[in-house]
Amino acid sequence: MSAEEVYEKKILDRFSDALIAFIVKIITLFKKDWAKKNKSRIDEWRLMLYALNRSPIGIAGLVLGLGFVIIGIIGPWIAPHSYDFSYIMATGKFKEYYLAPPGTGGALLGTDDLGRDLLSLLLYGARVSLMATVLVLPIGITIGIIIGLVAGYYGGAVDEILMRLTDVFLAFPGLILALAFSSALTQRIALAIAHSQFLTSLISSLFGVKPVDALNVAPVLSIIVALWIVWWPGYARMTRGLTLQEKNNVYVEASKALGLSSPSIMFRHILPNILGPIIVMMTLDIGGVILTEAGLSFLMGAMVKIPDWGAIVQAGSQYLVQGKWWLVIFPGLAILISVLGWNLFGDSLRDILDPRTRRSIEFKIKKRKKMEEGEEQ
Amino acid sequence: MADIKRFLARRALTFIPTLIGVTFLAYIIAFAIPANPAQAWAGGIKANPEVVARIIKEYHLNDPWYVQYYYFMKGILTNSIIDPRWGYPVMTYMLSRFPITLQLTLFALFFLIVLGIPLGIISALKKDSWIDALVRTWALVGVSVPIFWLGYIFIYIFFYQLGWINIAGIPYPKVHITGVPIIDAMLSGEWNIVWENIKRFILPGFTLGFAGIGVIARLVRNSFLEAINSDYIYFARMRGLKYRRIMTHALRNALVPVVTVLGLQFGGLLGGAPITETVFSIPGMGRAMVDAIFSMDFPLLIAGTFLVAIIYVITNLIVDILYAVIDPRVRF
Amino acid sequence: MSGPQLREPLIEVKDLYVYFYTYAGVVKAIEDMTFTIYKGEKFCMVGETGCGKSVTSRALANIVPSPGRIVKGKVIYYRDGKPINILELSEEQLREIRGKEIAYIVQDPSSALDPLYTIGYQIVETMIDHYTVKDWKDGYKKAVELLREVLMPDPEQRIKNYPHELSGGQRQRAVISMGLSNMPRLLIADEPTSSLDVTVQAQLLELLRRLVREHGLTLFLITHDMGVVAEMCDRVAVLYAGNIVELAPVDEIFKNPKHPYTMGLLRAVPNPQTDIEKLEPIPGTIPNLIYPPPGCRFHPRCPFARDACKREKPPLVEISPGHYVRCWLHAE
Repeated sequence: MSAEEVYEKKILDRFSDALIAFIVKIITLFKKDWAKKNKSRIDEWRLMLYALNRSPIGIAGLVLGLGFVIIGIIGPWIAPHSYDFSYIMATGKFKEYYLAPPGTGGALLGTDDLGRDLLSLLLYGARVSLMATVLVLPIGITIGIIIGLVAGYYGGAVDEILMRLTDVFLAFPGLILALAFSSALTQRIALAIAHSQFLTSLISSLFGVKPVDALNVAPVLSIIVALWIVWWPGYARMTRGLTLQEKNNVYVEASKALGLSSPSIMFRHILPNILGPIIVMMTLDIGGVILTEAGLSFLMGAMVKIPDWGAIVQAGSQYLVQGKWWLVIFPGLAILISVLGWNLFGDSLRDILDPRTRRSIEFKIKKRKKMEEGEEQ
Repeated sequence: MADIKRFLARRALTFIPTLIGVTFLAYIIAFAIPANPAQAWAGGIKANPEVVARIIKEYHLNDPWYVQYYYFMKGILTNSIIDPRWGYPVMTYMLSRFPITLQLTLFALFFLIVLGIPLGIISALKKDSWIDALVRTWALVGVSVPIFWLGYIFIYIFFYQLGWINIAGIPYPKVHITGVPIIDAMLSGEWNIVWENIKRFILPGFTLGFAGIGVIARLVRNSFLEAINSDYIYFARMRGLKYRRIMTHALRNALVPVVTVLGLQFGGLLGGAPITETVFSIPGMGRAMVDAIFSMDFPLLIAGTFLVAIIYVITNLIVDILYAVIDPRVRF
Repeated sequence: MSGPQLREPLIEVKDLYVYFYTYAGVVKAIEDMTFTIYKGEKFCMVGETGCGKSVTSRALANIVPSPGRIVKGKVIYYRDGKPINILELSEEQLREIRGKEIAYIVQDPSSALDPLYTIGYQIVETMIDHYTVKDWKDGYKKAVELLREVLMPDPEQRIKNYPHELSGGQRQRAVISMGLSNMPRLLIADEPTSSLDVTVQAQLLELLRRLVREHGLTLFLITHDMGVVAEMCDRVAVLYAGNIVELAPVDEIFKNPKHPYTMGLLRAVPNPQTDIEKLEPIPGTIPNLIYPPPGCRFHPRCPFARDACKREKPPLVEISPGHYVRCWLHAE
């Protein structure tokens, strides 16, 4: 009996089935008979997505999380005004547009002390946050995976040294290490941008700012590089653990006997098998990256000259005493919703992938098969 | 006790290289990462060229890295690194701010333990009740809330609107034993100062610990449930042990992973201190480091980073020892 | 063993039904179970994994693990001749009986012992909570004696050891000593040697035999091994899919098995008493107990199955003195 016939389907299930079919098609472009060899794995994916579809919190989280991504991408394009636009400059009406509350003449979320539109700032800030997340995690994880694989695979002295190295980095509380690193790096990065036309245009298009402001992105970039340094040790440890477990499998010895080179064994054989838990960890980390980046940009405050949610809060905090709450509340809310979305989704994902909870979910999904021998006596 | 001593000896073997590694990483951040370290140490772009030259000479910045590292460590350990702004030793300054940050962290830790653990136990005993839902929600939402945002909301409510707390200055007692204001005040019986300190630190402490409370509560809940459903508890029931005794067995087993997580959370508290101190205007190490960034005071930033790392490494060592005391299986 | 003596019942199980309420459905683990254990005898229950023997043993002290529930039936315990329905006792009354009048030895001693406490502590606490000793000092003295009695090498040292410091055999000895510590009337041994290796198995079984004899205990032994049955028991009940299919004195069962399942079991295991040319496993697998087969639960695997077997469940019938069978072949 195939998977289709046993489960009660919901509308969302059709979407997830289509998604999986799409992914399988793409993989088949590279490896012709992958679909046939991995049929049970594909069925498992289908089942996991069905489980996700039945978790309202998971779906809600996914919606919010994807919302963050989408707004991050289109933010600069749908913003009513540019990030350097000022109502005060444009209209000359200082009193009206200085720290104006939400709703004042077109500024949906209010304005700041320079008369800039908060809504636009937040939308540009979404792009910055998104870029930070997109640039931090893949690279940080890659560094961690490489180190973890090497340490786990070779073992012995190599393992000891790499793990001591990891311990040293983990000995610093994350935010503190990132703070120190980003301060130290800012100048170097600024110089690099200043000297490279390519970098300038790349950064300006990625972060949604004008090329002249590309240099101002340097503090955020130094935060991103600092976060690579902070994030890799966790993944190194995890990958090493997984590699150690995988090493005991027979196919590793078989590969060695066949004379495959070590890098080949590590990256083309072990890595695909341990990718699963790593991806789950990554999903759970997305919220953490957004939050840490926001914290750092809050601390660096005025040094961050491009719109970034944390920095906006810092700038607006001084006016809180005057009752100008929107400059603090709205950016914070944006951070909260984005992080919460990914955390809820990640939590659901972890529950689905935990073999213990998964079985009970699976049974709730399956249609009761009528046994030939009949039901309860 | 003998096997704990053996455990300590083995642990020291990993502790010392890690410590050395930490100092080396601090050195790298201090001298190798910046584009122009001498300038950074002299006070930034606007630094006096003479000062820059002196620094190059003093720290041997034109010599190979191991020489630089030696002079860096010498400077740190002999407390001779001077602050370019005010001209006094950075380590002394940072150490003087340490007790305040410690007090903040202790308040946060207090909440983690006094709120987190009981909430976790209750939520395990009353599974699927509203407390259980609260704990699970807190764990998820608490970790998603930006600390600074939460802090400002609290300030708005409890200071601006209600005036219950105070966000300026530190109430110092007359005596100076440990340097930590609230402890010294308790030791000398100045209870009004103790109360003032509570009013000053309770909100920052709660804000700093907010995420951690949820995490600890959820961990305690899951750990306790696992312990209660374990085979040894079932066997304890088979032996007819009294309820109290069975619960003690379960609790002790449940708390084992909590000790480790508390240690990790402590690192998070140290990391969150700069933000909390900034929001609540607390003159601790974190705030000093943030000011250092703004004032281009690089040596101060390095001193702070160094100190925090050392504290964290020592804390982790203590946690490991505690763990070995609680769980006999680890002692080998 | 000698012929009919004055046989006093110790435990009477009547019409016992135990169901497990799982997310997959309701597992009818035990149905319609009736048997008696007599004072001083060594009573065995034998069957494959999952046939319900462990569950039955737990039911005797009303300690069936969740999601299991006793839905129907009586368990009568004769305390000094007075009948008590175990299933109607309060939790506190049950607690007093468990570990004192009815004691258990479990299959896996490693998971039964709390890893954070010494085995000495765990032995003494069993006695303290049942007031067998008056304080901990006396308790530890008695614990050493108990360990000596179960042939634990170097007992004075062992009481200070943690479970992970002992071998499997030593842990099981500790568990046995806990079982004996309060001088129980009934000792329930649930596959006490299954997790140990063969040499230790033989030692422990011999130990059990001796202890039962010396202390005049009643033994309820659960096993899947017919060899153990032959060695240890006076009477044996053969269990299949939650029903007793045959119950008889040990000699009878081996010489004169009547139920097809029993016969199959004996053919599947080497029996030095008879000449068997080859070992034959029983075809098929145990049934799904959420939707058990109608009629006799063994009929899908039974070489003698007839129409009646598929329709109606045969009752347990005494075909010769003390020999009961549940099979349409013998019950017309």
